[in-house]
Amino acid sequence: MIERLKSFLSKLDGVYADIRYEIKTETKVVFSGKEITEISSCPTDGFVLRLLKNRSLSCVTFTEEKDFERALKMATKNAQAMAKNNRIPVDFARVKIVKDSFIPELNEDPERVSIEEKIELLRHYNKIPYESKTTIHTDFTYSEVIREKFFVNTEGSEIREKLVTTRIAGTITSSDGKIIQTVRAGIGGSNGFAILRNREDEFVRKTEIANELLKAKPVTGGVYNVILNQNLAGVFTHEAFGHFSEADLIENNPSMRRRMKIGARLGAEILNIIDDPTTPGQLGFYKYDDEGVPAQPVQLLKNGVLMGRLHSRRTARAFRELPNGHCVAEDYRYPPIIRMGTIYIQPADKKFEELIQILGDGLYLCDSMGGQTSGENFTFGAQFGYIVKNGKITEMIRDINISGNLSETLNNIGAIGNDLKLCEVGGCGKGQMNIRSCYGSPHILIKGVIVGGR
Amino acid sequence: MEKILSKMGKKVDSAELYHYRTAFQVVKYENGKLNELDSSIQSGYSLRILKNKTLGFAYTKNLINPDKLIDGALDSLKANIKTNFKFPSQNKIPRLNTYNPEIEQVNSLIVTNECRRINEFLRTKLDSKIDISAEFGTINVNIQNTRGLELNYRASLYILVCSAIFPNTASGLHYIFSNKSFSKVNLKMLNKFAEFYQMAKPIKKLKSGRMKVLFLPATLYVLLWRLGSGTNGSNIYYKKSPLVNKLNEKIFSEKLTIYDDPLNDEYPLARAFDDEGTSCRKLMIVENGILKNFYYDLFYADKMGVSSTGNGFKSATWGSEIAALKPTPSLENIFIKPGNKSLNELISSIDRGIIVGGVLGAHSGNIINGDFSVGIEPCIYVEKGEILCRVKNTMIAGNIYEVMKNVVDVENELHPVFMFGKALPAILFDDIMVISSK
Repeated sequence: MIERLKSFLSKLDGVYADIRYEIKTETKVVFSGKEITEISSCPTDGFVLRLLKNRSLSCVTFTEEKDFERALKMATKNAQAMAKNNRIPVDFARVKIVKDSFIPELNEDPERVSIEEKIELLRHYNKIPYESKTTIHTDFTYSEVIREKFFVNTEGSEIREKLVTTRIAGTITSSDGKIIQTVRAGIGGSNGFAILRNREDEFVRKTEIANELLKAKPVTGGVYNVILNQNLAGVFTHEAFGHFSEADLIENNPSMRRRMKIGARLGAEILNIIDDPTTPGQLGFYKYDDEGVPAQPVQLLKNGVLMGRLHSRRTARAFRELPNGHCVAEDYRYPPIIRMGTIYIQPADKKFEELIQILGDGLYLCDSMGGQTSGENFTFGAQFGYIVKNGKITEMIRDINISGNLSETLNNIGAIGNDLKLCEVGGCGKGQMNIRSCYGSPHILIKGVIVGGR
Repeated sequence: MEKILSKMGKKVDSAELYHYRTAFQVVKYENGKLNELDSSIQSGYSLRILKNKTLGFAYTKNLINPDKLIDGALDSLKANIKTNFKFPSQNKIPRLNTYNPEIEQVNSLIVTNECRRINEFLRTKLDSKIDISAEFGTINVNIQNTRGLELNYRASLYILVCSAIFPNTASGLHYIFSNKSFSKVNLKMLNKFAEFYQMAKPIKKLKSGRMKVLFLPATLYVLLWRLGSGTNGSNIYYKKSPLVNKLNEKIFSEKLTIYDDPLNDEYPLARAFDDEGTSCRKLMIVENGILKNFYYDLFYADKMGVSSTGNGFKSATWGSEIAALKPTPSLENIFIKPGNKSLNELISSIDRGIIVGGVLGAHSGNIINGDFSVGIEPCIYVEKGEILCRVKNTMIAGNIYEVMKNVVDVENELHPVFMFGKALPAILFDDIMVISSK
């Protein structure tokens, strides 16, 4: 395939171009309730062509190889149209030429596990919630996504990389006849099938929570001091801060760009945040991004001060900063855009028990229900939580969404735990879905957070 | 395609082949400069088969090896998904006006010029950052099955979203325009939009409490998402909806009439048949506050012993490869019947309340129970009928089955939206909890 892609680009002269061909094979087993409603294992494929001409960048995605000439014409026309307009001139930061083929080492290759075994494992986990009388429904999916990517550019880079993502994730729904509660459960990763075995604990624990939530009180809206557990603090890091360390989100927004200047104090002195997709074994791992740039760890915040941001080749040049391999596409249907890889708050020294003592009165909020940001403000949901009184965890609460202002909240982080945990099932929907978007954190304490409630 | 179906016909009881092809261009014009011109040409195939009342499914993007697609579908029969439904055989469907051939003459230059014109106009009115994005192109769908069905769908779409962004944020107010081909945005409408933005510019703080809340059309998806979940035929079948036994009961204010109308071709992307080839029809969901219908595809209609309502669409909340999606019950064309007050009259009737300009976190929370708890961004404060200012750090929370009982009034005009709805009016609700930081 690399040779075929090279022959496509050999027709081009005096311009930068890259082309990515991908075969994405998704194997899915879906349980809705106690029944299977889908099994599929199908390969799909497609091409992504990018052309940088007259300092204008254009991208065309196409499915069929015969459309290459048409795609090239479209890209050329678009680049010309851009050059004639008041466009933002585009240049790419220089990077090393890479020739590499990378196949990850897996702890049990899912392609070697039979579909029957996958069905049985999923059936086994799907049964667990039904041991509780209040469980009325489950939705669980086994998903295995294998992306085989072939990348070539006119500078001479030739890269093949395989990404394997497996997970079992879904929801447990409980009801007492009056209200319905839903809890998410999930396991998975990027290093093989083994991580899905012997994980009954996750499904037992989440079943208990779905059951307990039926007796929990809706939270009373107001402003609280809170402790976020690792998963929720990870989503907070991703939503509230992470997106604004993505250069493309701030580059054309002058006021945000002024606030996100390197060297600016953005958070409490105890706060350190890094994005590091390079550690093997965790969900967010990759070796090269979809511009062929090696992934690098980026210290984003050090002692509360902004130290770096995530870049594509284009934004690295525009910001006069170094490229760091964070330009990633969901698949062959999309041009790459700047994404977080594995973002997390670095652990400090506090034990969980100490954090609860420091909190005294407030809320302990757990596990994410998704989040969103608008620049200065963010909102995200917690699956469940507890009222903390006099340093003791008391009754359970539900229907919790929290909201806050980015700079105020980063400054209001009062204490950080020592118990870093990265998520196994991530995801980020910035225009495209990135199933390997990984986040994490130790427990953290934040003062003065708005909690929505009826 | 015929070859695959005739091959399949011998191996299974019946088969259905779905093929789509789309060609779209995107223009992004940010802060006065052209930032992106991208194109996509995508296509794919999905195959569904029925054998001994068992359903199989496979898909591919490139039909290089049809046998692999066939084998994939046959393999998937292992799942033993039982159903009694039959692929539809009727070919008689209404003709809709979904395609404007002028779309073929539209190019990125024409659209870029329009973005520039809008930007220049708004620049004279606003000092905000203005972002304009437009998308245009065509969709072709072909569905064939071995029961003699062959249907083609061709549609064209031009959609433009203009955003005025508030300083120090990435949030703003949005103006949405859509059509079946390129046409210029009416500057009078943009002028109204600019005036609205200007009124909402100063920032103040707000005291928490229960108050009137006006949802602008593009923000109603928060509530409609939850109603869509509550009336989805699959959730009714699995009994995970608060509406399971509530048909013909009053669930909302009598001022609310909410329906799905795929046949309304006044707006782009009308549908005469769904992604299974079932004829579409206007389906009343809530009429004068009374729950009238749930919506179904073939699979869940069979489970419930009813007929498909023509709502089997290949849709996914987060977008996905179309070929890889199986049809599921989906509301793609929601309309809300307009009321009799203008937007200005609605605002004038607010003694103390907020306007929801945009929301954060609509996807989080206990959706199936109807609960919502969202950040409001931008949040516009109204007192004694006048827009006073914008407030920061604000959330609203509630449950749609309580909140949608308290409708003050519905706007007398429909506006195109692109999430969980086709065209909606603004709606003013009373007594919603608004939380704001001190």
